[in-house]
Amino acid sequence: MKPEILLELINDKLGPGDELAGAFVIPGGLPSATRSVEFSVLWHTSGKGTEDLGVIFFQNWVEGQSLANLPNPFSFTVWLPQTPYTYDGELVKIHWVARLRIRYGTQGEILQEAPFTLRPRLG
Amino acid sequence: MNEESEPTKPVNKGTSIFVVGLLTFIVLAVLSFALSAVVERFGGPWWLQIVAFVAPGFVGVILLLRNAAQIQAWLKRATPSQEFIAAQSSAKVVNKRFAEIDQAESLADEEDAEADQDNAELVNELRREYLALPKIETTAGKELPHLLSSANLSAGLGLIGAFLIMAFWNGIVSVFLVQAINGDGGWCLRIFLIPFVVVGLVLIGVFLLSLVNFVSNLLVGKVQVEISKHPLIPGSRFEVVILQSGSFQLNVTVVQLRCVESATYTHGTTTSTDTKTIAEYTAEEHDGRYRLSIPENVMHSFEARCNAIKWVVSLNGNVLGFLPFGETYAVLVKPTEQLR
Repeated sequence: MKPEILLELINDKLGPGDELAGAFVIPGGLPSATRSVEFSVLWHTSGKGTEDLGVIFFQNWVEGQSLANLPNPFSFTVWLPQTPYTYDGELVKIHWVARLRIRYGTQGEILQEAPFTLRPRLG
Repeated sequence: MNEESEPTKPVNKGTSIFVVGLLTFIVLAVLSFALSAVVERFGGPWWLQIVAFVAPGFVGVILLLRNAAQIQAWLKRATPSQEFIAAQSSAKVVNKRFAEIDQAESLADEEDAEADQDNAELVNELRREYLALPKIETTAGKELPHLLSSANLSAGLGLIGAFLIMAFWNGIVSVFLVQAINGDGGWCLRIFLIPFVVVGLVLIGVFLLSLVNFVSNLLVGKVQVEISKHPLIPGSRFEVVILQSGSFQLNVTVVQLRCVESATYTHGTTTSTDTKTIAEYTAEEHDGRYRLSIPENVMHSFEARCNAIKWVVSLNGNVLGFLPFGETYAVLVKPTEQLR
């Protein structure tokens, strides 16, 4: 059974240069034999083309190194860049997400995402 | 930033998979040659030499198939996540971000007013980054400040390329076509050749179009486009001037600002790129100058490895009244900086 993970953002509508704030928590603790926990803030494309991906924040905790020090809950604040904006085109779409990836056992993997938009403030 | 844990230094596991695979191959290859040499040295029969050479590879393949599930699990376990790979490939940005924010926080602890000011400037630097924007530079123009570079392939290069492909294809097809015309091969060969001949005719058409384009460019000469502002900002207006050096007058029929989406994808071994124009804004002419405006809510230029949103100034026209001419010039649409 997969463990419950809560990944939440304070605000999911952000502008260029804003601060993304949120936290993740694993209420029941990490699954047994957890190998790594990776938290990242990134943009990625979808649509007809091969996926492109750009990471602006990446932090990982690896078994035998830093996993024992993983704060639970973990709160984060990340400054966002000016671009790329969230975009919904015909061939190209651009999404922003905060993503948590936990790898455990021989092949177990949990992926949790919290999407948000990066758009210019009007007016 | 959370201060309770330090980011772990990334380790490239993809490289280790490659190294292990390469080492295994080298060990098996060395074993094959060594066994084969031993058999030869002791005067073994020829078939034993072949068996000795093939056996290590054969055993290797059997072990590989027998342990496929474990190897697959090991590969999945050892393959780094896509975020990990992306963070590594943009390590300078990510590490710089870590380092600079940490430095900013340590400065914030100091009470010195000057350090606080430096801290604020440092944080603002991080927020001013424009990611995934293409690099499009202009040079100084004669009538307007910015001279644009053509985004098209040179007409001469296009003509040479079209000629070489057409000559290669039709050269091979013509050998069989001559045989078919002479009656060798019968109806089977004639029917079989039809699609190849059709492709050859299409390539001839492409070559003729390239030739017309080349002649138009030759008559018109170098066509330069200058604009009043660059990079272009959504919600702004700008002017365009077209200058030509050739002796035949280019009759410009339309000048447009166009936004084009581009997506590159791979199917098997074939890589293709699809493009789609998603917005077009036609210029108004006034005393030989063209005026354009960009709406406020448009998407900025974007460029990644396989996806792009390109903005171009395109001009279409003709020379001598019948030879078509078209050219596009890349421009950068960059949003104005927004900081709350």
